[in-house]
Amino acid sequence: MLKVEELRVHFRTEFGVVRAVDGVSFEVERGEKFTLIGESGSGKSVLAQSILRLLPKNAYVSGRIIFEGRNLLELGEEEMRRIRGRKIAWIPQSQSSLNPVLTVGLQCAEPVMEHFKTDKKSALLKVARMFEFFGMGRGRISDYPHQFSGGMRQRVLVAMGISADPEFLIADEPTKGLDASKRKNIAELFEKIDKTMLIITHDLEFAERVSDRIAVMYCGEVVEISPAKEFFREPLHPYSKGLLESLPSRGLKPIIGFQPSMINPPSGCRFRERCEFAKKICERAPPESIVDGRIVRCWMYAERGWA
Amino acid sequence: MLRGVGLRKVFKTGLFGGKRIVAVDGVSIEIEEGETVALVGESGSGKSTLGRILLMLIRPDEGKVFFDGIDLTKLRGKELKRVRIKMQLIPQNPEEALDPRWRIYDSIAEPLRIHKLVDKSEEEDRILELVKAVGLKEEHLTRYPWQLSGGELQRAVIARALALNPRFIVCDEPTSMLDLSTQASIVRLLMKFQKMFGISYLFITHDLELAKVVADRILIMRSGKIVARRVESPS
Repeated sequence: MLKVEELRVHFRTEFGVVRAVDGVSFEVERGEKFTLIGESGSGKSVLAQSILRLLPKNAYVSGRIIFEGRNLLELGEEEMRRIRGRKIAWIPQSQSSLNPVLTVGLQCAEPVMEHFKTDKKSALLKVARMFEFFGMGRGRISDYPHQFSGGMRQRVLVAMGISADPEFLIADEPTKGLDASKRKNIAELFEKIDKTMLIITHDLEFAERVSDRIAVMYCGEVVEISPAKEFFREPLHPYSKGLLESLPSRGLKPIIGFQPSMINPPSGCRFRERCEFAKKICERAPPESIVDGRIVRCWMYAERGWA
Repeated sequence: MLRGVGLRKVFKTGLFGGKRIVAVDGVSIEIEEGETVALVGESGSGKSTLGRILLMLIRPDEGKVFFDGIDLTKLRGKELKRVRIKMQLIPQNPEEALDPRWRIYDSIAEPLRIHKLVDKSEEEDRILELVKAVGLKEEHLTRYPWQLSGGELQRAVIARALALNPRFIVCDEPTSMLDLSTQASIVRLLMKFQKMFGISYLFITHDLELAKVVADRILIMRSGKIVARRVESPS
C-alpha cells in the first residue's frame, strides 16, 4: 500500500548536514498496523512527516515514497493537498495541536467539508456519530479544546484524522504525555479502527498491543523489521534487545553510552560503539539479512563475515 | 524520619473561588531513613501536591509534617530554610527545571550559594565532583539548558539536588519525559546514590512497573486519598 525506498532526509544547518533519515526502505501492507519505534532523535517523526511532505524548506529529501502507484515526492502541491487528510491522514501529538478558539466538532468537520464539499450541518452530524463511537458523547462536539483532558484531546485528534475516511493513517506518538490508564484507552481505540496505519512511538507497551509489525529505527536507519509477536518474544538486533531490556518489567537495564551525533554518525554500524557484541567487522556497514522472514541489519546475522 | 499526618489541601478556583478541588484528602504517610516509597496514581490524583506538601512548598490546610520529629508546619522563614537544606525536589520536566538564561554551572551552584555553605574555590571542587558523579562532563558546565539533551538535563537537575547532601528527595515523575533507555540509566543513577548516601525517596510515578523495581513500598493514590498500600519484595 505504501512503499518507501532508500529514503534520505538531510537538513542543512549551520553546524553541518544532519542526516535525520539515511537510506530507509520498508513497505506497509494494506490493513496492517506498522509501528516505527525508536528514541527521540532517531528520525522517526521526520520520516513520517516526509511522507506527507510536511517538512520545512531546508530539508533535502531523496528516494521514493510510492502510494497507489505514484511517487509522492514527485507530486505537485495541489495534488498533495488532495491526498492529505483524504487519502493519508495525520494524527498529531496531543499537545497544542488543536485550535483553542474553535469547537472541537468544527475542527473535526473541517476535513469532511474540505474534501467532500458537504455543508457544515451534515459534516457535524457525521462527527457527532464518530464521537459517540469513540465513547465521548455527541454533545461534546460543541465544546472547546480546553474543556477536554489530555486523553480526551487525543481521541478528538484521532476522530479528526479519520473524519474524511482516509485509507492510510499516520499517528505521531499518540500516547505521549498520557498516564497508564489513558494509554490503555487509546490502545483500545486504535484496536477498534480498522485501517492501514503507520504508528510512530517510543511507548513499547502500546506498540506491543496494537501493532502487526515493528520497525526499529536507530540514528536515521531502520535496523530491524519483525512481526510484533516475534519481536517482543525475541528481538534480533542488539539495539532492539537493549531497548526491551531497559523496560522496567524486563530488568531496567540501561544501554551504555549515548546516542551518536546525526551530523557525524560513526562509520559502519552506527550502534557499534554501544554494542556489547561489536567486532572489527562492524566498522563496515552491515548488510541487510533476512532471518525467518524478518529483516535485520547486523553482522551477527550476515551469511559471511561474522564467525 | 519523615512523617505526614492527616494532610489535607483544598484548592479554590473559578470565579471568587467558588469551585473547590480537594487535592489531598486526609493522607498520612511515613518514610523511613534510606527507604524508597513510590506514590503511584493517575494524573490529577493529587500525588504531586502531596509531594510538595511534604517539602512545605505548599502549606497544607490541615495536618502536620514532621521531619526528624520537628513539626515543619510551625516553622517560618529562616527556620524553615535551615531544615530545607536536607530536602530536595527533582521535578518532572528537566527543560523547565533549569533557568534558560543560566549556564549549567550556575544552576548547580545555586543551592550552595543560597545557603552560603562553601567559598568560591570549594564551590568549584564540589561542582566538579557532583558533575562527575551524575555522569556529565566538565564541558557541559559552560553550556545553556537548550544545548543539552533531556537525559543530560535531568542529570544536571540531579546534581543540583545532591549539592547539599540531602536526606530526603521527592522525585516527581523524574523520567516521564525521557526516552526508555535514558529512563533506565537515570533511575539506576538515583538508586546508586541512595545506596551510597542513604537518602530517602518519595518516588512519584504513574508507572506501576517502574514503581515495583525502585520502591520498598508502594502507595496507590486516587482522588486525593491513599487507597492501597503494598510492600515490595527486594529485587
